[in-house]
Amino acid sequence: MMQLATEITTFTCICCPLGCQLEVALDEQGGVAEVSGNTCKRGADYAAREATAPERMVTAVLPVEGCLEPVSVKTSAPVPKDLMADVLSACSAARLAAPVAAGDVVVADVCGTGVAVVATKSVP
Amino acid sequence: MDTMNAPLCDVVVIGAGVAGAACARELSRYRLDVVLLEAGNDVACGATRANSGIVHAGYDPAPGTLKARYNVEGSRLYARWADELGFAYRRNGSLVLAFSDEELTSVRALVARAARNGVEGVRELDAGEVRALEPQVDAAVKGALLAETGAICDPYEAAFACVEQAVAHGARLRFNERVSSVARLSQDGDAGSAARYLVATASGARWAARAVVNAAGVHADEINNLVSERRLRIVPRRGEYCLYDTDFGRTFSHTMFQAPSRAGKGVLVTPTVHGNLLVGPNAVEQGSKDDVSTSAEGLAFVLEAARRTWPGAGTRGVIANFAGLRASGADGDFAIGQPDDAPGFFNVACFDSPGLTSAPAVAADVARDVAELLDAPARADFDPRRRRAVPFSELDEDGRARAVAADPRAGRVVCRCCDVTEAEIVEALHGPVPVLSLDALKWRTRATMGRCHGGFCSPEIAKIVARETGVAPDRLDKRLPGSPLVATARGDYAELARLEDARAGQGADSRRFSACAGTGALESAPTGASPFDGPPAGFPDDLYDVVVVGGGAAGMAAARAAADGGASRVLLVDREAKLGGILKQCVHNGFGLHRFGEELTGPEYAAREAASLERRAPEIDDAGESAGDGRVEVLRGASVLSVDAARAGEGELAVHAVSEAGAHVLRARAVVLATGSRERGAGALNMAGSRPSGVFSAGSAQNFMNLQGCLPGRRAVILGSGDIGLIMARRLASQGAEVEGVYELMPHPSGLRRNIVQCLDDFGIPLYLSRTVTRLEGEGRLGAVHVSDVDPVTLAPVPGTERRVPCDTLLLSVGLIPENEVAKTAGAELDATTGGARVDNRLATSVPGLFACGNALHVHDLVDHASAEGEVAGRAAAAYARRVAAGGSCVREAPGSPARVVDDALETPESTGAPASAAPVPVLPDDGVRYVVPQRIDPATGADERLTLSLRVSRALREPRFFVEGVSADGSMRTVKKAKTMVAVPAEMVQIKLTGADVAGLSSLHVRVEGRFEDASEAMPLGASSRVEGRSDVAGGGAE
Repeated sequence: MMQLATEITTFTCICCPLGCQLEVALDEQGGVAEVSGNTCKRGADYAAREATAPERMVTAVLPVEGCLEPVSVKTSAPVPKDLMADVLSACSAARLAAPVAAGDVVVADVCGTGVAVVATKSVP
Repeated sequence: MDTMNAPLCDVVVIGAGVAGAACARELSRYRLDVVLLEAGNDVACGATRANSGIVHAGYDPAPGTLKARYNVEGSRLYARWADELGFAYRRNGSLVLAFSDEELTSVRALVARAARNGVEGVRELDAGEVRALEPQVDAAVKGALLAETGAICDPYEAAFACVEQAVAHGARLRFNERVSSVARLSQDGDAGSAARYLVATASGARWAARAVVNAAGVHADEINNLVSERRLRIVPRRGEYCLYDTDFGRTFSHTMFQAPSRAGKGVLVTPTVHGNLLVGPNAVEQGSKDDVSTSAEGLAFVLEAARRTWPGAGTRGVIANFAGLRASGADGDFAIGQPDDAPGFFNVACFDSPGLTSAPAVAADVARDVAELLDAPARADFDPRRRRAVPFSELDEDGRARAVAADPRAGRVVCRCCDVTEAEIVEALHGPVPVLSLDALKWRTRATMGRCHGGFCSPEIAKIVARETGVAPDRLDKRLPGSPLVATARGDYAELARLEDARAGQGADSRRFSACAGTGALESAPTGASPFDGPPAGFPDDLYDVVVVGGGAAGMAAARAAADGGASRVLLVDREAKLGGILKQCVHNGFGLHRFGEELTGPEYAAREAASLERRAPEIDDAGESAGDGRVEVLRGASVLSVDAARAGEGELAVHAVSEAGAHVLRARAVVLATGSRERGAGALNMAGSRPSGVFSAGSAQNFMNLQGCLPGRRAVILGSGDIGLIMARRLASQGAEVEGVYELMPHPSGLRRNIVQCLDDFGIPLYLSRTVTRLEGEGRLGAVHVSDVDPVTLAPVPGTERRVPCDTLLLSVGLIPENEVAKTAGAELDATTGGARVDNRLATSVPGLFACGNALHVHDLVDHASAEGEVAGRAAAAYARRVAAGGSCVREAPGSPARVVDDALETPESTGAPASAAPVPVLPDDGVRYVVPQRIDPATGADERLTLSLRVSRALREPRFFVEGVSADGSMRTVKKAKTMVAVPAEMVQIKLTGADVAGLSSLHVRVEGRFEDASEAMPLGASSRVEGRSDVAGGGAE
């Protein structure tokens, strides 16, 4: 009988300094079938998230016209990990002029994620 | 010969090392038109810069030689020379040590030679006399020569002072002019001009000169051989040195030579005029006249040889290594004056040791002969004294006040290691001798010369340079031409730097005493509170309850807690224009999960803390408890230089600070030090090779990127897997730079796991464990680093594993060191392991009324913990101040003098008097624990008072169990607390909470850990683990 191999992905757990090597087996629909290698529940949750919909906060600094100090920005919520590079590009395309206040929206709905990029400091 | 278009001058001096500089200065005594040509981009680019800095007494050269004559004459001239020119010089005396009978014989020969050379003040000492003079000398010493007239000086300063004075008297100085030809002119054709030589440089510039002084250092033979058949041959001999931190400067007071023997001349160990300790040099002949790279073998040899004199010589405490090339003539003696076949051509050649010492005497002779030849009269207006501003670091309180009154920029201390002010930097930039590199600025002002190697101040200096000269950091050379500080800077950098300065100037009033409200500490902070308008009525004087030094996370929390805790007046002093400390440049997220229950970026965290300073105290809960109104006054742009604890016993400390408003003496009942930490610099790693630009501490690269919008480099290697390095790897990669990899000496990463995954794995950046960088390559900018595998046990590079990695940038993330310069001035006892003050559970140091917290106390992984610690210190300081104000004992909290605290570990349990006078309970790290903070517990701690033990393990452990054990006065032991975590690594702090009741009645407390070893190197010897100490790499962020 032929067997269909189960797709697995591996991660290093970041929930604590243990750094468990996590292995996630995916079912045919791409859902999580099994997590192994974890030593706690947090690790299992992390692995499932990383395997199916990994997300990251993106931070950057952007030049501001008329001010030497660039403004620091962040995504107001995590964005899909795959989109990090696109989000960074979208940020650097933004043209900003001083003054910029913390909380100002620099890019609304970045890359169609529904997440805004906002300033995290005020300059000058 | 065609001399058309070549301007005529009287004398061309080739070379602005100490020889050429001294000649130019002496020539200024005569009516002569002098041109000084220097191939490099600064004075003293060659042997003068990389030199022992010794003014030799003159017992060493063979009698009858030029070296003997000029050495003795020069040595006699030096004190006056230094006084007139105003450079650092100290007659500390020299010893020549003998460790064997053979060496004793050579010491006696040198004593006899001293007499023949006419050197005064030389005699032989026996072993006992040597050890009495220098207790740190190796006990095997058998005797020594003492030369009372031996001295030390700053050779760069000497050369610089001469050049500056020559320029002041009209000499024309040209940098970057390498002389390519010196041609003799026929006298008959140009009788009118009387020019004898045509001097041309590689740039195409030419001068017709009536006389030439050849002081071209290692190239002097080539210049001589262009005009004279009396050939010279210079064999460059490399000398390598290790320079130690000023903490080691007092190891010896004399310059300690080793007696010559069959094994060689030995190396010296000497204090420097700037308070460092210098060891070296070796002597290695080499072909290249330009390569001043150090070698691993050479540095190892120097340290090994130095250990004969000073058994403590090792890599610990080294802040820099360097090499210089001696211009040694093949026949051994100087070549001075005109060769018989080249009239008007004066050599100061083959000028190796004792050239520095001989320079004033040789220059006087050469200048006199030149003047005689050219029939030049003496100048009546020659002023031998150079006007020299006393460095800010040497000024007293009144002097500082005057300096700031004259120029407010004197109130801005830019280089905090060497106390160099913005005024001094600006003055140097506009001085008569052009500044063409950051190094030139360093040598003239000492900015970036200290132990942080410019980690803090080089980004700030880059801004000042751009503002004053228009040269942005992507065009500012670090040292040699082609060594830009950063790869890219925005096109309008200089203009914006000026704008920033102008804005700061407009807001200058806010840098004076002011409340934080409305002054824009952080613009995002709510400014609802009404601006504070001067000290409220009713305060009899300017005595504060609590002064907090440092406006980073810990300091802001301490100030807030002190005000909330009932302190009547609280002042937060910070050196920068905006509060927040290092958080301002930590633009990544991951801060505040513990403190605010959400993840913030560094600037957001700082803004929240700053905003909290603006609110008034909560309603006074216990009637009468609170003496203050809960306000925190903030003094920004003020640098604290020292804390005077002379009156600590009477309940008052004096904080000495400067700002643009002047010099301040802030009186306080209690002072909290929250001065943060600094990064271990490249110098501390003692890497061999060259000294190119492109080597950054991760934090300074972060500053350039995140606060100035520069790209440090395009292809980076990161050494050390501390969190800042990991964060910067991601930043560089995000910004389009290539990150070749992160190299970690240890077999395990030292940053947080999350940062490994999200900063490296996410960006495909490799992490190489058990590898390190051993060598830097590149003349101007870094061209490559050499990496080697290291033995996981000894941490020594494994021979044969070296690999060259091309890159233009090396970022160092190799540890943080608590910054405790101010604590030292107060006399606070420091802990050798943490690098911070030793404290009790209220974070009180050994000085009554002085508290410490945050990274200044011990390096934290999480800013949240630093803030929490700040609160503890702030509350304790407020309580102490209130007690003092109420007339209570001010020493109850911190019993005993510093000396007593030093001994507290040894204190016997017999001193069990009343609780108030009882000895503090020492807290001691035991098996597997590297350190515990606090180091002692106040026996008067209340039963329900909470206390936190913060500790780090020595090595990684799985499933660790922590045991807190108490020993009672009767010697019995009990387990106070058991605790566990899943894993413990040195990079992550562990905290254990106790209450006063837990420790009541104990005479000592011990903390140990048991667990399974995490890493492979089971048999790590003690030596290796001690090397690992101080390498706990931690950043200001990344909450887990």
